Amino acid sequence: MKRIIFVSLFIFIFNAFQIDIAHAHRVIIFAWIDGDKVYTKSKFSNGKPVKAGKIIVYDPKGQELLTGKTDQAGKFFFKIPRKTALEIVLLASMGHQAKWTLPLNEVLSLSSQQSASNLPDNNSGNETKKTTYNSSGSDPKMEEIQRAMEKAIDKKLKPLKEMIAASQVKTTSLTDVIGGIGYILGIIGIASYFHYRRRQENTKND
Amino acid sequence: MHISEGILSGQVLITTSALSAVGFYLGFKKLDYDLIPQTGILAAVFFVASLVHVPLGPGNVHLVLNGIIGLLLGWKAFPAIMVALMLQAILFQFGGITTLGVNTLIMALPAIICYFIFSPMLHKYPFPAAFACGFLSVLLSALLAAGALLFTEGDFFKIASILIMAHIPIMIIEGTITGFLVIFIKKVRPEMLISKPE
Repeated sequence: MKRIIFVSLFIFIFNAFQIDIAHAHRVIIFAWIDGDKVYTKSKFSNGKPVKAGKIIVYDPKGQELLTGKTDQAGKFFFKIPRKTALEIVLLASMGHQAKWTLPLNEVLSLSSQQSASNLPDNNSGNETKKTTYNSSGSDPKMEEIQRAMEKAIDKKLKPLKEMIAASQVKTTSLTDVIGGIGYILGIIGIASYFHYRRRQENTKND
Repeated sequence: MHISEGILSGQVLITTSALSAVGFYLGFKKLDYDLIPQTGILAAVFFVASLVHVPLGPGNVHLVLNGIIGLLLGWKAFPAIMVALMLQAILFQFGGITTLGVNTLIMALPAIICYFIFSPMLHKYPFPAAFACGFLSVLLSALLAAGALLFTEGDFFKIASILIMAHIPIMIIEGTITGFLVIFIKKVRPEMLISKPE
């Protein structure tokens, strides 16, 4: 009877606050590249956007490139400042921080060829700039078509890019919860194993 | 309430880790074999409580339940909370491994302070004492978290007021939960409540 009361109390507490396993307490930032801009989205792990969170972008050497603030929807975007890997740090209040790294190859390959070549190169000594549209450079009409196509594809891909970036964020799953409880029960089990082994040895010696 | 990695300075991390280690040692010494199952189950309760998100108030907060854990475990709250926090850091990315010490201190120290203040009163005034215990332990945790962030964010009153405002709903809810749990435990297993803290 007591056990039933305990269990129902537990279930009540969980239902009362509509526990959703994805509702958890940490901040998440993810970023994706579209054209020559980097888009970021920041949220708490229950999905609420981080409003007016501070964003700082670093290069791999830890040099600060730019800072900004997220808007009401938790979004912030900026132009790629340099051809380098980008480390985007979100500082939300109450000691919360999250980081997202855009590796160099992503910055180079995902930003469309034309806009990427306009960016200042990281190694300033390297003067060999990529010539864009080498194959079709002679035909201005082809160039225009190609540019329009890229624009259209970018537009269509934008929600997909956002989805992929969002799906790379690890969220809390039921498996984690059960796993954690399992670890704690395992520690109890190991402790009682040693306890009973010692007791058995003592009784043998007596 | 979980402080993420990479925010606090090295000195703060080392000092709080050392203090947590002392607390862990004191709790571990008191941990008799007979009490291991109880401690473990309460550690599991603490582990899961952080997933219960309360959609009230300005902030984004969850249950802590350190008050009831302190009341029932005393010094053993330190090992219980540290193990639970470590699993939360590994599995949920709440807090982090380097901030384990500071987070343990933030949540376990108020639990022990409240244990010393309120457990002698439990037999006379069970509900009010337990409510105050649940309420105060979260309040003290918020203050400690603000204190830890003081060295990086500067303005103590600003951080403390943000943290406390965000946790007011939690304080009331935890006070109520702690109150009802203590009344329930008093009815079914009064020997679980420690009346003379040591």
